[in-house]
Amino acid sequence: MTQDKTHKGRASGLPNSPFLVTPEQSSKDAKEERLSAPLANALRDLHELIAESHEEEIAPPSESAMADAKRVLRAIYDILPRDCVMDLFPEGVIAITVPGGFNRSVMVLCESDGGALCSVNMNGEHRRKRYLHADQLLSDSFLCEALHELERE
Amino acid sequence: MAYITPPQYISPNETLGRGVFDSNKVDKKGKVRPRAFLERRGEVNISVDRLDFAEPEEMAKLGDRAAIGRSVGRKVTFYGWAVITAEYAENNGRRVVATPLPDNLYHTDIILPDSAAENRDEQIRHAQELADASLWRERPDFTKTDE
Repeated sequence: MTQDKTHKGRASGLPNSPFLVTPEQSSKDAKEERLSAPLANALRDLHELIAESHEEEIAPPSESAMADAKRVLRAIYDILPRDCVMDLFPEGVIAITVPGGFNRSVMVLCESDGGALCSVNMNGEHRRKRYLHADQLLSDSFLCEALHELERE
Repeated sequence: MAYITPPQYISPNETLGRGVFDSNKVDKKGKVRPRAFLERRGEVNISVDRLDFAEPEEMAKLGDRAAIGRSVGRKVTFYGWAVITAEYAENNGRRVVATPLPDNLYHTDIILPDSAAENRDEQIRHAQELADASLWRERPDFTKTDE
């Protein structure tokens, strides 16, 4: 199954957010919270993508993509604290993959223009959802449900 | 086994190797990153080699030769393969076609469905699936010898 939707509305307030992670909270957490080791490692890997972009002469991720990726990582680790794989696609797109064993994963792309994509592979069954802004991904249940599904099997 | 000329027919349980020329395409724990299978926008052919028909050292030499060919402006190194069976490579509309070259009899293409040529999200989806179904295999180390 392939689900390919684009949300055109802007998220505001996020009253029903399954994650409730705002940029302000993310910044506050970084200062006050003691991070778990897997999340700290993931954040370190995220920062290493900038060096990788220079090594490989591809576009570095934008500041907004980095900020979105940090918020997405925190949201993911709140639900499923397992090692993520950080990747950098051409055009400066950050890819966060949550592995679920052989032939299963949830991948979130944070794009330089603020867009986001959540792509789910469950034993070759695919579904995905595209968002104009990462806020919309965080306020939607699609990622949350996919992570719970990954955790169940 | 030195080498065997591979047949045109590709068995579902054949082992295909996607050459990795960039250490960043595999994470620190040996998980293949999706980028290993992500070609440039619009490209639907993903080059792999059939690994079951020659010794690993022979296949590594092919990888080293390919690395030299890619070394334009900077040194490129062959690190190993993202390994996947033909059965999984052929899932979800993908095809696996033997495309031997004069200097590489084992060359094969995983061909994505036409929809991936026009849709980057589809290209990315296939890269994710191929990475999820593959395992990292490091190249043999020629410096180690049995005594």
